[in-house]
Amino acid sequence: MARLSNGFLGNASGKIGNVVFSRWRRIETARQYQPDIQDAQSPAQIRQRSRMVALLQFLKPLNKTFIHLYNAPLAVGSTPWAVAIKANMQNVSPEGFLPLEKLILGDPRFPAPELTDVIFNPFLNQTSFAFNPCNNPAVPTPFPLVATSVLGKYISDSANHEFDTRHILCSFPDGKFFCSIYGDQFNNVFDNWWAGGLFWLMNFNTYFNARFNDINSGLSNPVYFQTVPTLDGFSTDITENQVPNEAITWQYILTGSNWSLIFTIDFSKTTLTNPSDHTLIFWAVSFLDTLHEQTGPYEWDLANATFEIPLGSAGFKGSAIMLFSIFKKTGERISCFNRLYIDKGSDNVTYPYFEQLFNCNYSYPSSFILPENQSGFCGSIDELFGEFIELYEQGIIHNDADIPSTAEYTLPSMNSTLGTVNVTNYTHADASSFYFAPNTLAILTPTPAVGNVFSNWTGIDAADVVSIGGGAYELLMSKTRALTAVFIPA
Amino acid sequence: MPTPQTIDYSKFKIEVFTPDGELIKEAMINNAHDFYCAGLTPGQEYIIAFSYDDILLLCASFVCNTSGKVIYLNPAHFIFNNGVDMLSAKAGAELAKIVKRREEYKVLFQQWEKQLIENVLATNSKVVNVFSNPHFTVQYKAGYELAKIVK
Repeated sequence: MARLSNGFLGNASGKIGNVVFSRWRRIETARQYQPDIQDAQSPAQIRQRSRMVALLQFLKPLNKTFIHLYNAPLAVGSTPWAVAIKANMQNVSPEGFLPLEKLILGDPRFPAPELTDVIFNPFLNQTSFAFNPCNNPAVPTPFPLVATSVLGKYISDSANHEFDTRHILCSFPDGKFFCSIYGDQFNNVFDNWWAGGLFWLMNFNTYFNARFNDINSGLSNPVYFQTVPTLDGFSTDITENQVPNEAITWQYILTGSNWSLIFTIDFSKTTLTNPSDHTLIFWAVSFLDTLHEQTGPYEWDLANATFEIPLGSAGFKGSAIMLFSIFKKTGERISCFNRLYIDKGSDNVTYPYFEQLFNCNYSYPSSFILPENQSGFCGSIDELFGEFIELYEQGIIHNDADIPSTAEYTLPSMNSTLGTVNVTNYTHADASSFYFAPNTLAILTPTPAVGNVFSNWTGIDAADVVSIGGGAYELLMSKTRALTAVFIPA
Repeated sequence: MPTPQTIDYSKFKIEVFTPDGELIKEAMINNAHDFYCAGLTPGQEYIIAFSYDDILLLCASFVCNTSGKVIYLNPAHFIFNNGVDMLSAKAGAELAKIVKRREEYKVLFQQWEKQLIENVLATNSKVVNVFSNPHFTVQYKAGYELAKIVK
């Protein structure tokens, strides 16, 4: 195919002889006419087509997001989509399978980071991990690594790939990734649990420059990860919900001097046909003061409609997230996992969900998704004010012994080749200024150079200068002053 | 010879004001020294004042247009926004009633602040006065670009 840079008899289209003229991506082209081609049906050709179809299905969900982000800078005279097809076709197996870990996007220049603690926390519905940049270029210390990109792939029974593309660029504390979590009302959707995922790392400078240049210039290779639930036996393979949250209520009871937390189940709100054959097993993360603790499992024999947790005389002044499921007494699980947030303590105080997660360091607030009419901010004091803290601890800043009791006001030095001004009553001076305690009288004595005489004062504060005789003047330093002495030839 | 002293994290305060200087709320700080503030109205401008022992450390004008978002403020965030301005006289006067000026305590610009100021001066010479006059309180821009682009 040829490109016609200046058109051909204008913008040609159609066929002349065996040459076909057409437009492709706003480019005038000419190609050889191909008469009817017989549909190729050899085994190799069929296999090749099925590989291409599989690749297209794999890449399609990523087209407007990840493929566009990484491949746009590479798509010169082409498209990000075409670049993705070309780069990934080689990794599609003869059976038409492309593993996520072999996905090629962009043109990464640096080694893949190393991941640790790759977990799915079902209490929060959050995937998180820690990353070590490894041999990526050092980042200037005050500027942390902020830009990360994560492609999650859901556990799916269908043949189709299902991706989570919500985390295309994220700003998080250096060395951490948390996928977003919603409020306490999102109880039964474990939508942040991925079978696997890819993680790319971009340092701040790269990201900053990427606005104008190429995002690939400091991009790491992706690293593949698989998440592990923090709760043994957790899975989402059963979707039937036999005991929804609405079927369970809870209250604190004080008996004598001892508190108990009592759970009650309303069987009419469940689909259990014979409750006494079943057990409700639950685990909990409790939030108390600034601490959190995972406890359980607790086994609740559903032959009883209530279950009691003794709390002792102190009660429980905090909140908790409960994760529960229903098991047959033979041990087989028959219902999905559900989550329930207990937002009140025995002190009858309400403990808001995100505040509890934050106070107890259970999750980082930049992963919080607030209700729609709200926004907020978060950060780290150590990260923003590290240098201030260091200088303070060295005693250089705000050492009580050194705190000036009042502000200082300045008067500029007024010496020139035509004369000098002697200044007294200042506390200290440097090359350009004299410093005074507030409301001190500055004494000014102009001394002209040989052949000159003192004329007058200029500047916005000249009117406040008062002659005190003997060639001397005074100026009340009630503020920082701007003043110049004028000397003229005698 | 300076006497070493220990920082007391309980003396850090992060207060949120309206542009007119009315105090709205205070951000929470946990024992990992992270701060968090929710309940702000998307699209509305706020002034965030960071102080230690009532000495003003940093002022930021904050806008988040995205509902539901908690913006992560770090040095890179401020530099990315590349915005420095003078605090309004009204907000400055209100702030002056509750915090002490950093200049009086010789609180220096940190390295990331210097970088930000250099970047701003390189692109906008009109803001030189903001830094040359010790009576102005500088505020950095937070939110805006990074909030729109980065989750």
